[in-house]
Amino acid sequence: MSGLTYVVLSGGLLALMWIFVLIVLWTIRADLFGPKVKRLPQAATPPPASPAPIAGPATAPPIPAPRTSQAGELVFLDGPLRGRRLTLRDQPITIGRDSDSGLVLHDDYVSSYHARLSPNGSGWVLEDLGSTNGTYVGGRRISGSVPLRPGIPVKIGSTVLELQS
Amino acid sequence: MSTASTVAGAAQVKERNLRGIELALTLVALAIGALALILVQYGALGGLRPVPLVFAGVYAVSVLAVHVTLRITASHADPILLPVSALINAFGLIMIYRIDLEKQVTALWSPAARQVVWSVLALAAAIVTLLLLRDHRTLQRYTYISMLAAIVLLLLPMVPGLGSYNGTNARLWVHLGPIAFQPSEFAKIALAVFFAGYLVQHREALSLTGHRILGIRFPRARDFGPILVVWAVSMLVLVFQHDLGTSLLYFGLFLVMLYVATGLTSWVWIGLGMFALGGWAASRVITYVQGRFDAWLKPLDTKVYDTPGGSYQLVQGLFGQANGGLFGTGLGKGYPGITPLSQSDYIWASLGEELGLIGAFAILCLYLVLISRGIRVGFAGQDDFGKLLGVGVSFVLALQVFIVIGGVTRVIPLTGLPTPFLAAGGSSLLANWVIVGLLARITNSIRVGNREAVS
Repeated sequence: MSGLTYVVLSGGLLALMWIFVLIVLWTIRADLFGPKVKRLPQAATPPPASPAPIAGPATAPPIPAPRTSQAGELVFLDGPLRGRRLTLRDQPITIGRDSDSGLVLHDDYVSSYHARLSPNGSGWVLEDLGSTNGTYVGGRRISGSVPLRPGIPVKIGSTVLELQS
Repeated sequence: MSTASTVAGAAQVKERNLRGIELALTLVALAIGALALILVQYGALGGLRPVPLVFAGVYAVSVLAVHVTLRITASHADPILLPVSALINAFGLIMIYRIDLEKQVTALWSPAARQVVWSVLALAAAIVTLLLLRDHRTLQRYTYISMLAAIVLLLLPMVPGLGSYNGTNARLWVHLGPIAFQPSEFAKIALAVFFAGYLVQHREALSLTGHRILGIRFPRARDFGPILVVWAVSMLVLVFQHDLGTSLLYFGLFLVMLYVATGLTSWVWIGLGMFALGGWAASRVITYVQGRFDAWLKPLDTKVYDTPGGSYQLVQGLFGQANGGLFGTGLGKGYPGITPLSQSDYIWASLGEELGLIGAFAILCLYLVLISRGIRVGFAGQDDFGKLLGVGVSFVLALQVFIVIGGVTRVIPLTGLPTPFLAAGGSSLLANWVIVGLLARITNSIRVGNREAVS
């Protein structure tokens, strides 16, 4: 091997090492920059990228789209699931710490059976199931059931979520 | 329940061919290793030798065996772990071989050959971990057994007749027949398991109770007990085994896991304060700690340089890295063997000399990516035990990399710890590949959990 070949190959090795690093970063890009989201990009940004503001209505104005059913989405604005979304189907969903719940929140300030969200005609009804630390809708603690409109922040333990239609 | 299922982060991520990605990356990593080996041979000898290529082939086959095991037992594990660790390990092998060449070790049973055998055993250990441990949560049952194991492993080198310095200045070694090993390397896994299990049970008591004094929450006395025990054990290690690095490693691991479990910074400050106090007291009493500080602060002082155990090694390492410069001398063209312990503690300086700053930083990036995958378990994981364990074992890797490379590059005082995956030595390799197996297992259950939720 001539001196020149050696030098070229040595440079090639260094280049390859960095190319390898870049390929590795490329394969985990979804974890670094978040998955591609078509709607509402800022609400779905994963936690490390940018802290989503808690003030719900400011970031995500409800879009009065033509609605055919109650299908909506819960968007997590704060708490352990921040940045995630949960598609609601046309059936009730329970929220609580118990693993039987439809939406399990691992949070010591959440009761085992904390609240229930049920479809009601064209909208949704949120019902507090006698939780210890309460369910707050728009900053006010609710008792019993209240209709839940899109874009109003709901606080349960350290989780803040809102309904989007 | 099906409604819960579509927590959308998981649903939006396409089902990717993870094992295919892993295989491709592994092949690229092995190809880079092969190129480096060929360059070493041409650089140092001017031609190819067949025997090392056979050893390299054995290593490559073992790495692929881990890949096959992952395909069978953990098909949703993170695809980055194996190729990145395999590449770092390969650079370690190549550098040890290169220093063998410089020192003209001709015996077949050379340090490099031994390291290949250890690598194969370590990869086998990762396979065994994956085969035996089908669910990482079973480890939670062994919380207190792990604590016992960790303490026994840590104190084992102090047993007369078993423990020895093994030619180094730390009493870290245990001799079993012809094999000398460092139990502290295995202790770090046992400790991480214990901390994870213990903190999952007690974190509420730790994070919610206690008095606030001057804005810092002080824990209750009885919650404080275990911390005192860990502190005492790491101080014992420091005083009796002469090993600042190991004691820093364990205490740091404990503090970080406490912080991750409770989210309270006050614990970190209290712990760092306690360690600083203990370290300061130790440096007054024990001369070797004082010597390390001197070597760190004034390495080029003639007196410090000439003292036995002074800064000679540190300075040789720095000269080597300076000789490498930005692009390195080229593999096989430098003089890394001049530095004492250039195959183990100082392998970083050897790599820095021949690969240069650019190559060394690429290896640091590999560590960074590997560790970030483990830390990610902390927020992607579903069970608290797995989260804490994942963060714990990856942080211990991170801290170890920092302590060793920081010491060699004179960022912090030098303490002898094996550089993960690189340094010559079997215990460290075995322990680190077991950690890779654990992380693969945990990441696998995260993805499987998400997938079950979606379907």
